[in-house]
Amino acid sequence: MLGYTWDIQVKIVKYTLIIMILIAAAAFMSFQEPRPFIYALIFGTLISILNFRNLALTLEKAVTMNPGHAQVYTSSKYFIRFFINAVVIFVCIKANYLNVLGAVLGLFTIKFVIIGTNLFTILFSKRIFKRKEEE
Amino acid sequence: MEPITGKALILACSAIGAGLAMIAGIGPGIGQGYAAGKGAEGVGRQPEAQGDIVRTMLLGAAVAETTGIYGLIIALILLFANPLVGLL
Repeated sequence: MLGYTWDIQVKIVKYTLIIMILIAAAAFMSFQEPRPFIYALIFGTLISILNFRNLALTLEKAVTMNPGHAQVYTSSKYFIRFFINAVVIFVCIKANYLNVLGAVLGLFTIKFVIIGTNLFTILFSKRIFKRKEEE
Repeated sequence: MEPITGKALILACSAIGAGLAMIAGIGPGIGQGYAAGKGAEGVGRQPEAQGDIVRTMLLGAAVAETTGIYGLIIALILLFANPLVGLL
């Protein structure tokens, strides 16, 4: 079952991968030793995509539960994802062949994509910044 | 009794700072759980709007989740790659 959010997931993952490739290309051209940054960027981005998929599955299941169970279920899943993020950052700090900055950028790419593709579109399409008297 | 060295003081303060920074991770967890509970209530009240509710909640939750990572990064850098020790 693909769920209610499959189309939006595909769109966001596609944009995230495009942004990742662009950042990797920019790093390749500007850094003297770009490999640690690019490896960490790919690592961080893939983990953030998996976390996003996990979040979608969690929320699709949570809305079918009763509210009390949904709260506990979503919070516990959040802390599992938080722990995964902690492991990713810890590995990038400890490993010499991975750059921390690349991993952090990879983990945050999905946030910039969501803000860029959805929230601004929603805000401007509903014209919430326009006063009702001016219409 | 040995006097406290500068490095030991920095490490102790960094550990306290890391603990304080981890508090930032609790907020999104509580918020996401609360939003999911309210989403479940909304779906119960209006089942035909389930798709819209989940879609909007997914985007909001994904953005909110990254704010917890900020604190996590600060905490892990203070613990395992402390830049302040090198300044001594």
